[in-house]
Amino acid sequence: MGPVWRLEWALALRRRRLLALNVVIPLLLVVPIALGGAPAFHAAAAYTVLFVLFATFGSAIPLVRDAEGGLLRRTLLAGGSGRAILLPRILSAALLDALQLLPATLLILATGEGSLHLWVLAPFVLLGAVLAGNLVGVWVAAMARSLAEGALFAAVVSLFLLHASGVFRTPAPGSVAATLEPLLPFTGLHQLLLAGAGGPPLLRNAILGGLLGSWGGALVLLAVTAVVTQPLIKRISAP
Amino acid sequence: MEAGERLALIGPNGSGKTTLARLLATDLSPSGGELYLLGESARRPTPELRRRIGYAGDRPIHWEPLTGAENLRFFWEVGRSRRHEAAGPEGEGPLSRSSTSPSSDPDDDSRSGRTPLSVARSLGLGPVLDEPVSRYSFGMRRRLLLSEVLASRAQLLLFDEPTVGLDPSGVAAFGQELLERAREGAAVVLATNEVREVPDWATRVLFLSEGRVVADDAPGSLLLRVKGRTLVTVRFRARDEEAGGKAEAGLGGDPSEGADEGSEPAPVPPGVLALLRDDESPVGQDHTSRRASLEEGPDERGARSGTGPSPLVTLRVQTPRGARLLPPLLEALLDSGAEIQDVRVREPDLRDVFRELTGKELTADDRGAEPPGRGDG
Repeated sequence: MGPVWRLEWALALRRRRLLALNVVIPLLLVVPIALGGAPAFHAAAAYTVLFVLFATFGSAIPLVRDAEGGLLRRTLLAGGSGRAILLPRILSAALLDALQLLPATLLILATGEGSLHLWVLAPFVLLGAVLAGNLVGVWVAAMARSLAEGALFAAVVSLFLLHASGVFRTPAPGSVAATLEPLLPFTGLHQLLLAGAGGPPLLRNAILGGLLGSWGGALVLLAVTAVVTQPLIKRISAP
Repeated sequence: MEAGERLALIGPNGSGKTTLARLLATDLSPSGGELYLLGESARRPTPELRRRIGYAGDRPIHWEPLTGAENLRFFWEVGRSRRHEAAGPEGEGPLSRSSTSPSSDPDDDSRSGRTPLSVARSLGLGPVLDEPVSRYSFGMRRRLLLSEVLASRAQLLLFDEPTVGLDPSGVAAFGQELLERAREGAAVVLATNEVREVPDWATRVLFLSEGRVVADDAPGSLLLRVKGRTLVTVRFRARDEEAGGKAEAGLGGDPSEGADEGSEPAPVPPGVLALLRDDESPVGQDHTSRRASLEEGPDERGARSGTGPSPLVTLRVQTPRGARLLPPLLEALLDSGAEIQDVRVREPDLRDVFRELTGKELTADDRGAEPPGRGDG
């Protein structure tokens, strides 16, 4: 593993307070919903929004902050390539996010009617979704010129993708939206959390679709990002 | 530049030193023309090219939660060049002497027996290397940045105002490491206005003014231009309007010593090359208008309104007589009733060369007396 991968883990372990907050705050938000008897559809929407914003904000804001502080530029000038900086950063951040959100996810399954296959599926779907969220965050950081812009763009883009993923409504069968929905990276997470919150149980096809959607969407986005890392990092780190 | 060459960029604020350093660091793109660095076009700099250039900007930037040693390791690893590791001891290109085969461990770099950590220790960071950078003072951050660049494999080292924030021991240690890296074959560029160390550190000086090169020569050759022009600075409170004039009367000496072509004209007394005021106006003419042109502090304003002490006047004298000028000068001032506040004698340096070439000061501090601790007197 390269220096940026090691750097990300060292920074995460050194910022222990932030690490603890990132575990505790999702739990604090999930507990009242999970124990409050909210309808499954509303509860799942709240969970999915929380998890996706967690990933996109968690990727975009530190990138903008490090760009503003000159750290990305310095790393580039020291000889780091866009790929060597961005890809390890995205992968380590996604893994960290998944680990930090796992307790909240397991709590949702424990308080809902999660079956065994949901418990097995949850970490993989979660990881795929937060990977996609982190990738979205990188693109958001490339558009933003300040922390405020980063937060605004992350919210707008995430909410749009959540909407397209069927989190806020059920598209009419046969429509373009209904066709696209399973291909989007956050659909699988929503379906998993819906089933975990006591909604309709996941059928075998839905399980497969959720996994494929999460990981397929994330991997496509990862491949596209990997191709343009140099212009992306140049734009993000521009003074 | 050749391998091992050490170039100092000197010029006042806005002259283009930092812009040139950032261009060489590929932090800026040229707005016109072509820029070639180490044999490659720098229009679209590759990571490989950037690994061959070490740049210490004017702001020390680090991963604050990490320790100094962790930061050293990180930037050392990012700057590690696979191509030059494979190239072997001779490396490639005109600046290849610094491209000796490196180990993959920053604690075990066989190059000259020095490691990134040992460079940091030599710059005085040993006791704090295991502390987070967030606890470092500005000076310690500067030392860490300088260590990172000095310890890199780069063949071109760029330093923008490297001594800002360093104490004298830090400046000396940096100078030693700098010379060592140059001996290993690295070309060095220093953008600085701290000219005291330049003759020891640089083999070549580029004077910049308003984005243009006004001189390009060895420091020794440039200093020949001001040889024998000692700068004597006296600050005094004049009891009356004629105190300055009486002081000038006391500056007399052997007229032949002061005769120098190109020196200040008529009002300058014998033995003196130039007698300057804060505003560069020659002394010896209309005292009333001259005093009015001085920068006035609260004391001066008080004096003019008759409520405070006498005005503070600064006389700067360039003379080949050195400190021998002081007795008659001070005697004349004291005779006139002036209260001497400060006396400094300084041998001419590159600031004076720059002033002679451009008619401008390098820094605001060069007007009148220097702040305590910087003057030679």
